[in-house]
Amino acid sequence: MPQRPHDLCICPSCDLVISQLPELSEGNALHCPRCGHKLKSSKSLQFSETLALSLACLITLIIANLYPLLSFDFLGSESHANILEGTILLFDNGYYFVGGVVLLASVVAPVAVFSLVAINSFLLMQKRKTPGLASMLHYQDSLIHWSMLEVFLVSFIVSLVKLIELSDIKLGWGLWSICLTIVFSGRLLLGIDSQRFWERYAAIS
Amino acid sequence: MQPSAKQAGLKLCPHCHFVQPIAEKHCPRCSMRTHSRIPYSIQKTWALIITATIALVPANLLPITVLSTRGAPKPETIMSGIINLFQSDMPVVASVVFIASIVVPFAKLVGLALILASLHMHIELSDRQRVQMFRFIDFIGRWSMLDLFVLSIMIAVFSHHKIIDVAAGPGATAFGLAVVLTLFAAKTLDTRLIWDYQT
Repeated sequence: MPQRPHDLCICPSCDLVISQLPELSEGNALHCPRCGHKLKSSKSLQFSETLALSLACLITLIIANLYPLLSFDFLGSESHANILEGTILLFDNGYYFVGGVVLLASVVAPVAVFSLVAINSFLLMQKRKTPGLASMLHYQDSLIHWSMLEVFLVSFIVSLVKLIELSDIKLGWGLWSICLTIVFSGRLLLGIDSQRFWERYAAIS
Repeated sequence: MQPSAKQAGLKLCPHCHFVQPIAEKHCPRCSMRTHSRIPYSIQKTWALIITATIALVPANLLPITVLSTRGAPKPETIMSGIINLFQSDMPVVASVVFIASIVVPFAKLVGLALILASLHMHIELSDRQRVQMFRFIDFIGRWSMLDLFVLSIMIAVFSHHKIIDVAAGPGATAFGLAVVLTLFAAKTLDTRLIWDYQT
């Protein structure tokens, strides 16, 4: 073999060996010629950008959890709801599994992912290698799939349409904050490139 | 036929994408256990699909929400909730819930079963079609969480209400289980097998 093995590119989706990737031009992405898997994108973010975006996500998500999503007055009793309340009540009624999945997808996984991206970006940007860095990078990659904030937002809209005919609804700060989180995390998830993290990790060891 | 890394004696770390010889047990870069293919991928995926299919039966037959007005409980299954939405003139929301809770889980199971079956027997599907189908399944899978989120939000909204009370029903656990199992099923299916089984 003329090249060292790790200079080759292997498609993670179809295992095709690609000996040389063409240069990536601005605004484009490279796809596997056999299965169409996206191999590299020029939209991938720098560590400083992932750090900034993940901190923004974290702050807006914490605010979203502190304030109610909505409040309304219906048949003489006022209600408001925030993200965590429903899961706590599911736990109280013995629905541990449902409560656990909802809690994981709407709070735990997003908070964990944004914190890990922030910590990992900071450490790699500073070229500092700490003992737990490899496992933090692994958790970052595997928890990303369990963060389902965009599904939560659509679910909230569905609930809102169900409630809207019952009474006047006041939307709370929690909702605007979670919308911001989704805008930031959308950009973050679109541009985060775990390859870049691992390459830097290898470069500083 | 184009060469696969496996035939060239190479493999890719599934975690950090480091290219290494196939004999390597742990990735030299990130020290995780690496495999050329996900071990027992087909068996594991079949097992998860079958379990998820079984879980979908109680998920659709048992009530997912129990809505009580002045103490009179009214259990609702996924389907009766959707029909209620249609009857109260909310066709868009009803369709969204229908797609997320009924179409997505079933489409996912049928799609994954079809890809797996195509590895065993001859089915007229190109490799590209199969992998595109898989990517679509993988992408839509998370949206079946919608109904559980709606349930959680509705419970929170009516938590301290004097007249109306919303609670979860046993169907919710079965449905949650089905959703989680299908998410894992899509994870354990190794798409590279599509090209391995090529004849």
